[in-house]
Amino acid sequence: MPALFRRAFSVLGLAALVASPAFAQAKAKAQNVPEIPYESVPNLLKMPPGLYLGEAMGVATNSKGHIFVFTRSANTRLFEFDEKGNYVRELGVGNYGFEFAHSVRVDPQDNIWAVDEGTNMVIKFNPEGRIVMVLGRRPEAALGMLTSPSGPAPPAEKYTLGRPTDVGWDPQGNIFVSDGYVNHRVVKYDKNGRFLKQVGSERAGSEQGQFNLPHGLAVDAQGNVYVADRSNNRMQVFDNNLVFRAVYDNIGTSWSVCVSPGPHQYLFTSNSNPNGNGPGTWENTGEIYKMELDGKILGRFGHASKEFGGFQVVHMMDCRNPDQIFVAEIESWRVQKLMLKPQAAKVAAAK
Amino acid sequence: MTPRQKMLALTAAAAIAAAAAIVPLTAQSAVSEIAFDSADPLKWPANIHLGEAAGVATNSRGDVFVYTRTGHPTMTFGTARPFAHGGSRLFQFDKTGKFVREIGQDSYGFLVAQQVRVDPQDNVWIVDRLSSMVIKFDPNGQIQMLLGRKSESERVPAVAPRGAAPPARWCWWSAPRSMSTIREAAGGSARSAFAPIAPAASTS
Repeated sequence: MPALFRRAFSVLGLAALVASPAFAQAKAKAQNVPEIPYESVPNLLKMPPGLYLGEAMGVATNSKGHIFVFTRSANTRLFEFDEKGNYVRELGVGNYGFEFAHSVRVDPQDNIWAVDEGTNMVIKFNPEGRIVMVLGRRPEAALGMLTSPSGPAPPAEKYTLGRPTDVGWDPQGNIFVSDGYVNHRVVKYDKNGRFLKQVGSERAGSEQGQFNLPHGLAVDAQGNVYVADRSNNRMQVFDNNLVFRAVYDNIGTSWSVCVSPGPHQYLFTSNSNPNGNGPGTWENTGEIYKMELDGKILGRFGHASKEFGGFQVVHMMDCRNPDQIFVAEIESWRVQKLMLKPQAAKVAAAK
Repeated sequence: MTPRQKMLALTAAAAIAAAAAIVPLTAQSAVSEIAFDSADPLKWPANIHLGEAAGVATNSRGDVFVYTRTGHPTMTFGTARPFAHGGSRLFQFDKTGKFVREIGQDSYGFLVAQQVRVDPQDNVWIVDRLSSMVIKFDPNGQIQMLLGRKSESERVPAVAPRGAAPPARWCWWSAPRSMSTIREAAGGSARSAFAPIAPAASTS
């Protein structure tokens, strides 16, 4: 394509982006999906007196069942609770990389990784809570405020992130980062943080291998990468070299994904109702889908609601145990632990 | 109703409204003064200071709740999005004015206090002007419900260095390629630098 045409196209694309609402509604196309019954554990997190969760952006568990919550309170903070929900400690107090929480994940070695979209950083804590690696860099103080989030992004760089959203690892320890709101790509780094390759770019797109807000990711035991392509209302699957493999587009808007460990892995995706919208006012009805890795839907659970047991904008899930799902909700400032009863799911033809 | 009837009805309604507005004014001269004593009952712990007292309310036991603008309201910048933090606190005193506790410490939604109310079940509701949130605390001080959502970032005008080149261009020269989110650098102008920063299209 001649350069002039490319430029014209990009301008047109930008105009379309600006003109359209931030979210296009996407009713999940999957029909007759069995409902998986569940109960939410009451009073899960015991907050010490004077400590409050703000928006619960990320939740993750480690191998001992400890629960990590990355939250936007007055400042962005990372808390650890034990498996019973008793408060253990705060991690990363006052560190340079915490400004605006987005995701927390725990790797197979129990390292805790926090993704911050306010500093463009991914921060790795070892199990003792010390920072042992960082990806990306916070813009220097004051200079950051002069950067503007409007207009086309400059070419994506190897080691600079643009409001990253999530992190995951393959069995070899390679690191995958979804990046994010400014760039629209997934980056693969080796275990030491060296850039290997990316799929997508600084530009949003809806073709295979392009993204419009890659908002979360998860990696299975074969190293395949599942990406929540939020504003394209779909999930995309890539092999370990970030070559496109499949698209799952019948599950509404994929906000967050999770792949359970173990010999039979399951895939979860949340069709969250958008921010600032009351339950029931949007086509995105807030449910979570349980799937096989190949995309077959096994069941669904939950719905948008501010009530305990309902979901008011699920931002992230933990599925270390596929029958015990943790959800972090933005607009209820809470974390819930859901005890699924999959055996009780009504049998129906799911597609 | 014909247009003429509508007009007549509207005129009549306007006349009644005008009369209603006048009557209380003339009646007010007859209002008697209610005598009262004033006390300053709230006993503040050391180094907790009441700022602008935006809201006060009591519960069924006579406990006093004060939602006040105090401390340091701050804006921080990671990238171009200014994040608002702090600036308001909620305190509880008993009916004798003894300090009981603080509620909602470091809450995400406490920015510019506007009001506090206590409902018949003794739940404490605060209204915050800047976060545009209503937060319901149960009598134990735990959050029970949220209405509205704080903006992820605030629109504030960017401040240009006095006498310097337009900030966007200055930024581009000073830190070329060091930030992935420089967007208007090449085409930056003084005018756009002074305009409010546009919010990002997508949030969360």
